[in-house]
Amino acid sequence: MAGESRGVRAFSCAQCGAPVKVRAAGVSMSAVCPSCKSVVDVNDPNHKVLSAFQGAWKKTIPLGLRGRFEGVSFELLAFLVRAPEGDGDESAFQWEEYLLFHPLKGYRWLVQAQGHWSWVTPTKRQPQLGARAATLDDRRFRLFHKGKAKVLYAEGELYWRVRAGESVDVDDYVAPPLMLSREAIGTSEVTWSRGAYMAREAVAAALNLDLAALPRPLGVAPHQPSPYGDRPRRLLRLAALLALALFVLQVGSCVRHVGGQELLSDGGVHRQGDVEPHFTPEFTLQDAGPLTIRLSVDILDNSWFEVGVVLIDVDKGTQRAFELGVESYHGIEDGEAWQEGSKAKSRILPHVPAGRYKLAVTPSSGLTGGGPTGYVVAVASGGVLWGNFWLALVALLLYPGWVWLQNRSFEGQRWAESMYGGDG
Amino acid sequence: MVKDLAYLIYGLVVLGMAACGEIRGVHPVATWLDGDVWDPEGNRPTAAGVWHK
Repeated sequence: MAGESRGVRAFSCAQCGAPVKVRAAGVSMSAVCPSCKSVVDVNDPNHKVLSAFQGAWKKTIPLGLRGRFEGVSFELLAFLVRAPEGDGDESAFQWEEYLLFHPLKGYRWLVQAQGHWSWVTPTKRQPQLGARAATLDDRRFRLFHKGKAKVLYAEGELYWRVRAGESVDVDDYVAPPLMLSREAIGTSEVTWSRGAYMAREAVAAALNLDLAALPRPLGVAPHQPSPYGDRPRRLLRLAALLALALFVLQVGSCVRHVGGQELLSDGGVHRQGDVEPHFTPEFTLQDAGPLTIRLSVDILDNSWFEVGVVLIDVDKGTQRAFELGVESYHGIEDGEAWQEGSKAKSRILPHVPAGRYKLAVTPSSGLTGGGPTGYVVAVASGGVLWGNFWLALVALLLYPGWVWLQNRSFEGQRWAESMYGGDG
Repeated sequence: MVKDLAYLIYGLVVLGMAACGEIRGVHPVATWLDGDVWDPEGNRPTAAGVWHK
């Protein structure tokens, strides 16, 4: 087509004589001979050879292919392989960069690293730099990587005079799904680009390629959007609202149950050697619900006092037994007076059916050689229990907590690859 | 959004169960923790106030 052939130029390689085709003539500065891999100066009248690449790399996408990005058709002009410099083993981590061109839009890069794709647009705006962060368009990017990258291999035509082994300083900042990259040669030549994470499926669709032709993604890319999106935050907000409603419900229940009616207050005296139980008068519980039993002792001096209590349903004969104990100790240590324990203690029985009851109380104590101990056992209807509140709260937080943990694990994988961790 | 809605419905069911539990005086956790107070072994009092084996 006439539009496609416009700007296309061909010449013979000065090194091997093979034909070299330049699709963006007038814009491209260098081209790599497809036969001998020599880098040729496109604008030089003699097509001077600048350098040469060795070997051959298998491309994921063939050059010359057209793909639809940003609503227009871009043509793939060049293919580069780059790797971190100074890491020793260059084959350990390499990435592919495809240079695309559109006469009106200019240049773009399609970058593939570990099966993850990015659509990279050069930006002339200078981001604001902070401590381990950069801000562009009110979006804060966190520093992910700082290092050097060198060109291992190139094919096609490029807008600069590419050399084998040329290296640049690279700083990558991320704000998923975006990445901001700064590339600098010394301090004089600095370029910024903005990369957007592209799903493998979107790349295949844009280039009209079979999805199986593209490598499967490995691990988590620095700017890969979390599959959980902002769901953890949304769910936690929802859980907070539900927990608030639950708390209000619990407060309502507390108001209802606190200050229940006193049903019994019965005192007794315990002497050393007493083993017989004391039976209290009967009392009636009108409505089923919690029952609070309180034991209090007047005098307790460095000792303990305990009662075995049996709640007896007078009409049905059923029983419920439990123990209630108090202890109180005090002393002086290093000139400081201390005291611990209490002379009163309560126990709430969670669900007692309505009915007539009495208590069988069997005291025992740690008093030795002392006089009789007076005690009071009081019974009141009601009692505040928090079991349902905590149970419901755990039930409410289970799913949001699980999603939050999954997301945190994903972010952990992302930042495990960074030299700056995830603490920013 | 469907999962959010499903969670909201689940949350409301949990709230409803907690409310019912409070109204009816059913406290499964407290009852479970208190479970050992039923049917004591050894000496038992009778409803008539007699202590016997």
